[in-house]
Amino acid sequence: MSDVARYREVALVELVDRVLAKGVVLSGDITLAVADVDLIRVELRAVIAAVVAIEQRRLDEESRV
Amino acid sequence: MFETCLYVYGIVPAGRLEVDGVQGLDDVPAEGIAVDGLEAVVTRHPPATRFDATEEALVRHDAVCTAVMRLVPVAPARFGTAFRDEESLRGELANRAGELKRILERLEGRVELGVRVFTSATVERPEGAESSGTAFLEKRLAERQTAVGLATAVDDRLARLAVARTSSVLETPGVPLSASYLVGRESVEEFRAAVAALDGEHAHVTLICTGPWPPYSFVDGAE
Repeated sequence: MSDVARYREVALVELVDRVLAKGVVLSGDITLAVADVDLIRVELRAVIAAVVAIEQRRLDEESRV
Repeated sequence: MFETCLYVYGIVPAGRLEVDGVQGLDDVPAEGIAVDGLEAVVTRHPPATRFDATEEALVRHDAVCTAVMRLVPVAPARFGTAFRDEESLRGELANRAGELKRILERLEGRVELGVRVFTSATVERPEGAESSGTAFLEKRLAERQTAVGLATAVDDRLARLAVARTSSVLETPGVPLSASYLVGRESVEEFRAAVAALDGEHAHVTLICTGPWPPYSFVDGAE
């Protein structure tokens, strides 16, 4: 994975994390169902785990060189 | 009048924004709705539109906030909030005006930067009779302490260049630090340089700095 690709992957995780779980909460008439948010956050955690695994493998490979 | 619902991206100070050319969800052009010195950045959609949190939609929500952020301070809204009509939106803004103005004052001239620290250190469960479970647990504990020490050192150093921070230590295994910093625009380059320096100082660790983001992590007006 190139540096640019890795940055993009991390940036997407950071974006999803912010847009879904942070920001001002307004009391609207329509809000995203909590169940939907939970589901997306489960998927998000899987993405983070994948990014971490890739990063660890890279670091491990570097430390063996 | 044509019935629509209004999807909200963020709140800005009134009268300072031009949203021409900014497109929101479903490529609808964004517009501003002003109330009490505040302006909500919105798009109009048919009633009962579902706003599904697809990757594309989340990216678009952020893109609108980012485009707005270049021009004025913005308090980005959490994804997925819509109002059935203007009256309903105006009511909510009027109720929250004091709090939202305080938040926006604090955000003037500042942006959010994200930092994630990744480590390679993971102790394998030892195989073989000579390694006891206690030794394994001690190693895990030592590893945890090292990660916490590293996260705290990085966080403290970066916090000196920031106005505010929110950080979580060891929330995800292999990620000792996941943090957000509110930084003055004039300090962004200095902050990035500090992250790069820390990245160079620590072997077996990678620091990734993202942003500038709209300040999603710094919109708590409870002061």
